[in-house]
Amino acid sequence: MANVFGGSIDDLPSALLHCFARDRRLRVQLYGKQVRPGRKVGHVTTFGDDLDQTRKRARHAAAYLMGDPNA
Amino acid sequence: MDFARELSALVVRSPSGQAAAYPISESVQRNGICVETITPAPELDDDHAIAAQQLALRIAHELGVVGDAGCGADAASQTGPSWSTSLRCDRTTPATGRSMEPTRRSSRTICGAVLDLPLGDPASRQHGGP
Repeated sequence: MANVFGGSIDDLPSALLHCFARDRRLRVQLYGKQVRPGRKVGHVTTFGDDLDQTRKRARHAAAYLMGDPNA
Repeated sequence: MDFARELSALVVRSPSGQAAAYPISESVQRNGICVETITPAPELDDDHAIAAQQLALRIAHELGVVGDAGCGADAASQTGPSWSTSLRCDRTTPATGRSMEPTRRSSRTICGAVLDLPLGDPASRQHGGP
């Protein structure tokens, strides 16, 4: 699980399209709160056999939702 | 004290005393905020994991928890968590859907606990699972 904190993206539901297109094993909970910097606005969970890869996938999705597509 | 990592044990309990313990999680903190959790906690031996689950179940039982409860412990070393230090326990609103649930079945487990229905399987979802 990787937490999603408010970043530079306001429209989180639209940003989900990238996340789900890239990774079909993601589950994302968005809390429906207004995005403010640093505010916890959601979390990403996923699973897998390889710990490092699994963490990387979760972190990427969370970072993308925080406005960092290169994470 | 310079803690090596933070672990937490999550359990659910029903009014009649049915209970289930989830695999132990490690939470990764940055600037005092939880940024990530890993379940099951890496490199935690079975003896410590089971001891932590038993402790969480006992706390939930003694507090009469209905729904889910989490207990946290700061591990002073990577392999030997000191569960008696800095123990925290909280009761959360059941079935909020916001828990750090690793599995789809977990929602059923928590709802089942509140309604006193048979509990689901708290095992972590594995590759190829439902």
